[in-house]
Amino acid sequence: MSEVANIYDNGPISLIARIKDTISVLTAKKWAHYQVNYAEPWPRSSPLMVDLVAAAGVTTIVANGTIAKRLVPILQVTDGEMLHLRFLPLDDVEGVVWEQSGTGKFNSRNTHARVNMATGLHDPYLATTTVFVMGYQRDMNLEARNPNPVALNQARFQFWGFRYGLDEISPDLSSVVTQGGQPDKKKQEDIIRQLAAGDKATVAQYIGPTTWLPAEGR
Amino acid sequence: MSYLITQGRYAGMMAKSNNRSGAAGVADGPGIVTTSAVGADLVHQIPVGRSFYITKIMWYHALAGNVLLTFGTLSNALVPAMVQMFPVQVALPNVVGGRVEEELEGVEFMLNSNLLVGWNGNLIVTATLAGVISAAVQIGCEVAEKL
Repeated sequence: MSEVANIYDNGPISLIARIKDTISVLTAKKWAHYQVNYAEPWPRSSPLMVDLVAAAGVTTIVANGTIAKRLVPILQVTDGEMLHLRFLPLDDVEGVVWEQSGTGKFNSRNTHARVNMATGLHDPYLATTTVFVMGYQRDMNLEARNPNPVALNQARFQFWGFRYGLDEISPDLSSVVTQGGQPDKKKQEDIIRQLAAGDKATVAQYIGPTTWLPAEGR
Repeated sequence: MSYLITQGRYAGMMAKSNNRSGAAGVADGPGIVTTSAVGADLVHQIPVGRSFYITKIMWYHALAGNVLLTFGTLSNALVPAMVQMFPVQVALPNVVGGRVEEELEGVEFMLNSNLLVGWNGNLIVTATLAGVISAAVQIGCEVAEKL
């Protein structure tokens, strides 16, 4: 666990950045740059388990039915907080991940992948279930599908991973001056635009080495 | 499940019990199937897109005489209604009987959607006592579903 992994490494879940490392996060279609100020594990345990049948206030997930996407309160965070999660269903149901805006996670033009009980049989560390949740009111939604021809009494999902504390980085642009020594506002704004666009060279110059992290899809 | 998936044949499969009641296939949730006097009672229904092997079948009844159990799946062609998958099993009265996978053929239950010669892939059972379809035989089964 001392190793720092790439964000979707196929081994056991590991930190993607050490404390004081920089991460660059794609959220709301922009890259934002943060320094990790804190990191701790979130061990797999009962408080990190959610039963969508109970959460939805129903008695079963009906045969071949769905529990509509809904907020998962245990995964809600505050600003400056980020979760790095993997998950699996404990019951024979399929999990469908949605980003807060209703955009599907793990989806492409024509399909929306799900996580089922067999995902872990072929991907033992559940690396392909990796999701990130970051910031207040940018919560993930989870939907459950029952592939069985009978109703099930529970649709439990177990989460685990890491929790990070983040400080937003304000790049030092004091050296960006005109020939007359005055702050070059136009160039500074251009740099800020380039940083938000994720321009690699600009980020390398003003942010430094970073871990690129697509917290939201596009 | 850990036992099953450590066996090469079952890699990527998961164990489940029967998921239907008897009574000619009326859905009643997981548990024991009690046969009906109609026959062709649904013991395990495959979820869409899956197939399964039977790893264990158990039975019990307290009727007066031996009951013959025919396990199979339903034909889409309706005639014959049943596709028998195993040799007929004899259920003695007041004795729990059963078969485990080593004693059963390695038959994979899967959907064949052809309407004329296909079958639906669900496990069904018909119990007969002295040639008459018999209710009140309890059946339990365990399967390994491939998904």
